Amino acid sequence: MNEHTNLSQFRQSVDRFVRERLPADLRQTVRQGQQSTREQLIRWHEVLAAQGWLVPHWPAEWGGRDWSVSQQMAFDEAMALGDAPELNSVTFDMIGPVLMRYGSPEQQRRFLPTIASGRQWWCQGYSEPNAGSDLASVVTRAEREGDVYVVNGSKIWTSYGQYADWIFALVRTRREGKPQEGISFLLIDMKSPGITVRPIVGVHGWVVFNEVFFDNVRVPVELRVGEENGGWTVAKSLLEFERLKLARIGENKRRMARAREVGLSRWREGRRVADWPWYRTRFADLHARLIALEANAERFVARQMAGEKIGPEVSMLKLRGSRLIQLWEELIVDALGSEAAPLSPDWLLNQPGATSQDALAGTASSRRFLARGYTIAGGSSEIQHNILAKQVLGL
Amino acid sequence: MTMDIDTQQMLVDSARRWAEQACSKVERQAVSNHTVGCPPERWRALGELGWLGMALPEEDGGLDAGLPALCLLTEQLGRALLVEPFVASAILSSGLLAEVATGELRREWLPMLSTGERRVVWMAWEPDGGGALNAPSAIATAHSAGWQLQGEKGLMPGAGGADGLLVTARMPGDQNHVGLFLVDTQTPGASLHSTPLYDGRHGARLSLVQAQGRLLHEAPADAMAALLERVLIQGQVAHCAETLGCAQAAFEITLDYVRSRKQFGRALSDNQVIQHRLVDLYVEQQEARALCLAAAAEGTPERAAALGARVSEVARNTWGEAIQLHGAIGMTEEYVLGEYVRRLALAADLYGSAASHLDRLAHLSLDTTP
Repeated sequence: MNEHTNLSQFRQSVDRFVRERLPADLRQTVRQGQQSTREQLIRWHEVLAAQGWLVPHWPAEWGGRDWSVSQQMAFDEAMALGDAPELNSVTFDMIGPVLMRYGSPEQQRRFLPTIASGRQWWCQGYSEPNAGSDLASVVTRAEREGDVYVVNGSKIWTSYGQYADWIFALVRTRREGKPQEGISFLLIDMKSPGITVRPIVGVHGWVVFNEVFFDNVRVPVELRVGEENGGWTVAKSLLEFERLKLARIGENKRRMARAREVGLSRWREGRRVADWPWYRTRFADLHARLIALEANAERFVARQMAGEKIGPEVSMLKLRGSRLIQLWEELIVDALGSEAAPLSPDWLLNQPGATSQDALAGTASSRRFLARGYTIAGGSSEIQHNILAKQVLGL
Repeated sequence: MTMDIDTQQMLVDSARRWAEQACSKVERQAVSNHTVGCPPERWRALGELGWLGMALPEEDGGLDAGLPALCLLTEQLGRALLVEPFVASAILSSGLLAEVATGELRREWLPMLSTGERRVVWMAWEPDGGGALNAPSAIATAHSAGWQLQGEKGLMPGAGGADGLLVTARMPGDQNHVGLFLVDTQTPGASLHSTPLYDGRHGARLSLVQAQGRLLHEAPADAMAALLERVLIQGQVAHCAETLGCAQAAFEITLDYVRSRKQFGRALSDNQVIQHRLVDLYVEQQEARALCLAAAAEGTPERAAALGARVSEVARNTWGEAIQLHGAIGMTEEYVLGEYVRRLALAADLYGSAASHLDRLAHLSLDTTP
């Protein structure tokens, strides 16, 4: 740790920072479980960037602070508990580190400072209608015409594509041979002629997903990362970045705090929800799981800090952390009862006797649906099971 | 003192080697068949290995090895299905006596606990199976010859054959004062009722009828409960490590079995449904183990409650899934899995059931301001 020797002191300074500097409108949006706008998020990025806390886990060379994993995790936790929005990991944890490792010097100079400033948004063009977990079967093709690739096809489930300035995409540059060996990794400007974004409204009412269509989109060859047909290696390396964060300890603690707040403030049949046996047992069960998850994550953190390699075993953190978030959201909805039913928090806030806590209720159902994404995106739980079965248990 | 990593590894290796010889199925059976499940010569052998003194301070002839090292040991003993009440006696009860014993009594007892010449057991449970650390049902009365105890203590593993028993009782006069006593098992009026348990170990309950006890420590109920809870957490964490060792062994047996057993022309383990269920067990165990070692290093009440709840669930899931993945053979007495199944099933409810741990954790998280 180069900046703060005392982790808890550091936590306090982050707590204070979030309390004082997180814009009130954004905090409200996050607390109410509503979707933040691009403008709100970019504004927050700029506040963080000014503090040096937008990409602290990056090396100093690129505007980072070389934070250790444990410092990064403490930071994430304080942010989550302070009702700050989850940062777009595609931008800060994926493409940034990919460019540092595989990007050309020109690509690095062109993109990394802008990403570190917080003003550029990236999305990930991996999945296609017929290539979800089975990514190697992507068919969006890029044909070489002199110094450009001409890209045709479509990507789907592109998270926050509607906010994005750039997309990094896996495209097919060769149809012969093994499917993995005919894929290239391209950086594509979302303003390029021929790109159409179709937002897909989710069951939660949010637009997270998009379908992105490419119709003769011309991409300069110098925006390819890695070798032609060598994109699979680059794509796979994404899975190695920030895997410890996938335990989502902070996000789980945020939900626990909400579940607790709802339990302590709501009454059912003359009895506080937090005094009902069903609530207590479920809360304690999830809390016990969270304490265990945290102890397990610390084991991997210690390993990483000691310079040891983090093996495929780390998949268990994602498996458990993502599921646990869903279980918290279910408990919150159950604890709210009919209060969770209205579509918008505004209705509740306008009821007689409403308190600000009621903001928690309005969109509990949205959050519960959103949480289902955690076990699908970034390698579904089934894929994590397969990884653990094959690479750890040797089955 | 904390053991460095090399010393810890030596401890684990020596425990493994010892167990191969001394905890074979034949040996385990012989110990189970012993009247109280703890033959004195074998107990002294544990003393010669140095293990009985690990929870005791160095100045009393112990090793003061620390709970993390003890957990690595009990994990191995759990794998080996050790029958003797190592956790109940050498960690929980020796630990409690070391907390409170003073003077001549301390000099008399502690070195002999290290060597295995004497064994002590804390009758930690009430007749109803609860802890009631701050309100024991037994009562103490003062007599000219000393303290007399009246009451019952619930079933405690390893109590039979102990030389001394630690019991709490309410003090006369002030209902909110609790005393901790040492009762000689030969004392008139103290009767242990032993029974084999279904996991091959033995346990006993205690009746005290005007039985003499030596007062070790006296405190207001809450202070006594705090002291007892601290010691109980140590025992509970070590018990969890033992249980997890047992669960890991049962998991490995199951893994080997599904790899070698063929149905429909292929190994059971080639089926994804089997693979994923094994992964779930594995992940739960690894997570619980990480929590156990964290709790051993720093045993906060929250962590201890979470650990108790998780390990109860892991134990139950492990034995249930192990049987299911084996099929009918998993339910037989003769197949090796059976003993693990029984041990895990019982272990899940010792030192508090999952439900009681969840109650405790709910209380800690919901009834206090963070």
